[in-house]
Amino acid sequence: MSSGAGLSLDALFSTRAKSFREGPDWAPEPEGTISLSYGFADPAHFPVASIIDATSEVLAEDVNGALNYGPTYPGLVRLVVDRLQARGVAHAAPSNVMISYGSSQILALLPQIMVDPGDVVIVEGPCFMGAVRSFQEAGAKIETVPVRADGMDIDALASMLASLTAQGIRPKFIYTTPTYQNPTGTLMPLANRKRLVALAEQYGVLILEDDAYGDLRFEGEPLPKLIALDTKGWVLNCGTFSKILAPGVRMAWACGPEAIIKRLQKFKIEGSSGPFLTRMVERFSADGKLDAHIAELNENYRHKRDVMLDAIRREFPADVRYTVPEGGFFIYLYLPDDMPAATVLAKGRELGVTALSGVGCYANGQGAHEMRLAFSYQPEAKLVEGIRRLGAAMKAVRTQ
Amino acid sequence: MNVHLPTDDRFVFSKRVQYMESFAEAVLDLPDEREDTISLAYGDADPDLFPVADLITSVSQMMQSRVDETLNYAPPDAALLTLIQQRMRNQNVDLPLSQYITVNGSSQVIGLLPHVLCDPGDAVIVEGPTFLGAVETFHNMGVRVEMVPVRDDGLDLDMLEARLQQLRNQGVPVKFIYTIPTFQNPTGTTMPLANRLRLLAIAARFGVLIVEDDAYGDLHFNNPTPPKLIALDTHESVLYVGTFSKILAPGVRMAWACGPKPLIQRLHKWKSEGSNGPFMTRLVAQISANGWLDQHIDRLNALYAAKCEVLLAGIRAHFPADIRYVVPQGGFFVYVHLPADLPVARLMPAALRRNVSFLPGTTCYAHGEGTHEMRLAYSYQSAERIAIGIRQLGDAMAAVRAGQP
Repeated sequence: MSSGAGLSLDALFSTRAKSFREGPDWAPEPEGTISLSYGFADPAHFPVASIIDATSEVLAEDVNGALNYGPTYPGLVRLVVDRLQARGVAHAAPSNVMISYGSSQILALLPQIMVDPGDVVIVEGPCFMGAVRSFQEAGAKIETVPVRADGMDIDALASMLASLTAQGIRPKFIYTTPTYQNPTGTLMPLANRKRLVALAEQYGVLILEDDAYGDLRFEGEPLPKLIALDTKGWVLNCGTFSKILAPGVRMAWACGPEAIIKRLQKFKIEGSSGPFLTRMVERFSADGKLDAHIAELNENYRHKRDVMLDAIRREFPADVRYTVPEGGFFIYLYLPDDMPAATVLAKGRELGVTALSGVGCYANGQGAHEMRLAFSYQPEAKLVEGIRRLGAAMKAVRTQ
Repeated sequence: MNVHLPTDDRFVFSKRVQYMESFAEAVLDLPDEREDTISLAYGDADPDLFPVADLITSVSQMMQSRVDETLNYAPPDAALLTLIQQRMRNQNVDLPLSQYITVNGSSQVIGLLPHVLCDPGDAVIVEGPTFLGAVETFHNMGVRVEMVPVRDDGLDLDMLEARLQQLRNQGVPVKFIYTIPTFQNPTGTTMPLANRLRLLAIAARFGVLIVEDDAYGDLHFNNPTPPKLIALDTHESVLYVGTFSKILAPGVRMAWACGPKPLIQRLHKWKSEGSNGPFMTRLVAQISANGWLDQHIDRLNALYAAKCEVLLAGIRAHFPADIRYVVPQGGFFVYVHLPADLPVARLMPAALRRNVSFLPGTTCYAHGEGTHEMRLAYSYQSAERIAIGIRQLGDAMAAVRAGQP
């Protein structure tokens, strides 16, 4: 193509798309570095054979249904409904459940349908910043409620809601990961869950319950999901097959008030999530196969958590505090005053280990002495070596 | 297809939702088919040529290596982007990978366009008739949809120029022209080279983007197709949209767009779920590799050409002489213009009574035109059923003319 006077695209973009800045890039890590940074799934436990089987069965059974134009497979919606009902979500129904391409799709679409620039969204500090960035893209003003050892600080939330109300501000939604929170791994106790749902009802604020880790329970009794405690329709629950099947298939769901689900579906402009993929995921999961796979995963992840905790106890200075999660992918560190996370991580990179700085988990710049470690991805030996290197980095920072 | 959104005063939705819901939703007048109706209405792919065995082999093969990159959090498979880029290069479109995006079906790009390009009050130009899904999407996003007629050689460029001038005089911003220049849906028409060059010149003069939907471009029966608009473009004024739906399978939901970098960047950003996952992109790349896709396209074209001929033979044998249609050189459809005494509103009940259906032209226009037009798809039904369907449809036409049910 020869170059000509280009079309002035700037004059054509919509107001919302005029400004553009590149999203954050994942920094490449040098060879030999052990990354504890990202909550990737354990590749040693991908259900490869079952995926091949599910593909063959789906294609053998109804090739036209799987490969022609068609809706999201209703059987997958049914499966999600059944799973939610089994977990006490009595009002889960095909009319209030939708399938999406990863929960990131729900996290990005919800602000589009609810948030105008300047609207307030409440998030946990620390939390999953990928979600916060999509709220900010829609122009949300982010308010942060601290996370304690038992999850979101409900007293702090109550006073924030009271104070916002006094200013005439009604937040659009509260984003929370009550179960094995990302990044802290904390679990919100039942009493707090009930209080949180009551507050949402009282103030008329939607709760966005990110339930990505809900099935990854290593010990303890399962607690009801927020949506199971919600009788008035103030909770939108989103769950995902990323952690329990594979992130690469990009398959997730949302369940909640029909008024929200219908609009999310309308804004999901491509329509269905693919007849082939939704059938494959359903077939992979059906007849108790998903639960069996989850049990295998939990065995594996519990073991890897224990390996990491053992190594932490051996290798880290005694005054480094850490969470002991009962499920999920992460252990969270609180470092002493003389160990800023940035300094430890810089030293760690020299020694061949990376982790996620706490600053990257807050919308308000906090977290300078905090750090997230993922035990999900690396094999056991590398977890041990990674923690050894990180411990060495901490000691080096301290003696400097 | 009319979705009635529940009203629920508990929630305060964004101004965009409120604006969109201030419009009546598009209502599509689709045929009321039974399970066993011979439907010639929809452009579904022929299931006989779905490559079941090759897909299963591909999944097995790709699970033998790079499992982590295929099933974990990862970008779309690089091999797919490279394969698409090479296919485009073979058609004289040479763009860097940074100017490509893979999407979950071309409907995703079409749906993103108003999002990225249109404010309330902005207009877009579409062909009349055109792909019903696009019009519905634009309409429901609150975009002003302006239709310019399609002639036997595609979009009427005199009318286009006049409409653009008129809208400019009225101060209405026009953001893009949505066109299917090759084997157009629904008319099957193809825009000749001279018209393509003129369309580009018109778009450049008015500062309007062209969106080239090339869903059917590979499905040519005889002669090669004219160059793609984007291959002729010298002003970076074309966004090209291609899809694996017709050449592999609609159910894999895999399509791509390429064009000006700032536009591709914004499509990436506003594609809500992030990039297409590694699993499906690798599967499509895996099965398509080593010339398989080209061989498969040859098989498809042989089949679709034969079925198109069956449909045309049926029309010649069973339809009245005063209908008019363009013989398509590719694609999925034959579009029929009916005489004044055969409106689709009367023809449809008679057709359904005879267990056959078609797509009424009215669904292919934004404002109720097309009352005497019908789209017949030869893509999905078998040759035998196409032959029966067309005979029944001819019978329905005769009955309507005779004043019988």
